Amino acid sequence: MTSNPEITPLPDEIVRALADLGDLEAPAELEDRVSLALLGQATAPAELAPRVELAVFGPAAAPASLWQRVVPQVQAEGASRRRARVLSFRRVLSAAAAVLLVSIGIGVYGPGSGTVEGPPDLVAQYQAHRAEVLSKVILIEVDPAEFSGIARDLGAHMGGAR
Amino acid sequence: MRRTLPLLLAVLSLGLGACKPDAWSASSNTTGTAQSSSGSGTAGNSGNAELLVFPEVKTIFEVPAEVLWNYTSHDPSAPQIYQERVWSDGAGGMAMHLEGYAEGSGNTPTAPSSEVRVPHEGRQLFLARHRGPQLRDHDRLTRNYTWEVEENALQIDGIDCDRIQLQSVYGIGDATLLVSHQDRLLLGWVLFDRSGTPMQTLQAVSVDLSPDLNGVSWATAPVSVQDYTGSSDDLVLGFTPLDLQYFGPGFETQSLQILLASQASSELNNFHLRALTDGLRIVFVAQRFATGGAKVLGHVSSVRFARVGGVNLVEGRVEDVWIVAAGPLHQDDLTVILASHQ
Repeated sequence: MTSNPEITPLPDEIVRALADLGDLEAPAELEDRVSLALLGQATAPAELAPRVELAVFGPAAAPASLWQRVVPQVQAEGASRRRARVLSFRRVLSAAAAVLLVSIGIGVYGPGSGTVEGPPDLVAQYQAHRAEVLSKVILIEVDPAEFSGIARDLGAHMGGAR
Repeated sequence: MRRTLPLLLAVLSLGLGACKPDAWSASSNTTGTAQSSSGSGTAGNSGNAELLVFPEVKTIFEVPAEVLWNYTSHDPSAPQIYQERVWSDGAGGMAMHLEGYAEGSGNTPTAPSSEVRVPHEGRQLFLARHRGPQLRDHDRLTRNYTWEVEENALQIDGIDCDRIQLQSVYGIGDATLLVSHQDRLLLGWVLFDRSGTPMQTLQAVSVDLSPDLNGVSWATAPVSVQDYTGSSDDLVLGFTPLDLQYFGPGFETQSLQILLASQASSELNNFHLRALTDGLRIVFVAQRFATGGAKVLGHVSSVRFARVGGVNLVEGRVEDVWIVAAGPLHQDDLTVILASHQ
């Protein structure tokens, strides 16, 4: 993880305690998500805590004392930037509203109003389902002659090779 | 902030109204000359109900016709070309004679051997009904494909034809249809695999819509079939077929039948045959009672697959049932269907 100059460093004893835990690597998304939380751009989801804990400390739980000291430190950093967060969020809202208005304008008056792409949720769901199924099944390519005559005949009835 | 939020919600609701869930299936049918010239899909002047209408497409078996066409089964090693002459009385009667056959690209079809011709003509009814893309289910097609129409894009035997290019929203493979502009007859098509390589191609060479049908020997079904209506038919079938839990990407059951193969030969077992369609493509899943071999418990764990020309086959076994799925679909997608049997 790279350092962020806007964040006050952790106390030395916490840094040492973390260093003593060995050569462990936090997930790549952690830095982005923690940075966003600190800057008030997003709230870290509740499920992040156990994941961070698991990634950093492994299956064993983090020492309670360490956790209690880290949390106030993070909260203090977040509070000091709360004002900036509100201003930033307003800008985000304004931009989103502008984008939506422009999009609707294009949708109503523009040439491509019916050209919405396919159902991304269904497509993504299917692709995930297919990947899951294929992960559980061994596919073995064989010579068509190894198939039963009835299977080959079914293929031929559908326009396959004779 | 308090004033911005209601505004944002109002804007969002407008946006959702403009993009309501069924709008995606209209998709690219607003483009292409057909829509703009007919006015049925032009932006801002029509409702979504109009946008959902796919152009009319009929098979030549719906009208009296005599057609000569070339069908190509794109085997990865060497394409197989079948030159077929087809007659239709427009009322269900049809006949298909194989006039030429060639293997390998660039080769001209020549008179087929009886080894090729006889089994091919034995399949003529099934081929006419189930080979290639057709407008099998309008609503399902409009949900699973987007399309563009190019009017009068080409001529086939002097007949102006529209080219309809369909794109699968699931990415399972696109298709091109060549439809006569006036009569809406399907005179050519290409089915692609998911990488964009053709699997099956058909194009008419000559078309006669006022045919002389005297002397035509109409096709008959070589194997009797009956509808499968539920467990009460299991006695006829000889076993209880497995349920299909998931039908595949955009597919739905079109028909359930029993192939009464035991009537043709006492050595054959009857089959359960399910036809699945996504509105355009068709996939068949056959089940039969598996005799001998190791019983496979629970879900299928291994699947064998093979490519036979423009069709993929997958087969596996669950419990005491042997299952094969066949169609112009990637083996991964066929495996999803096969593995969904329980």
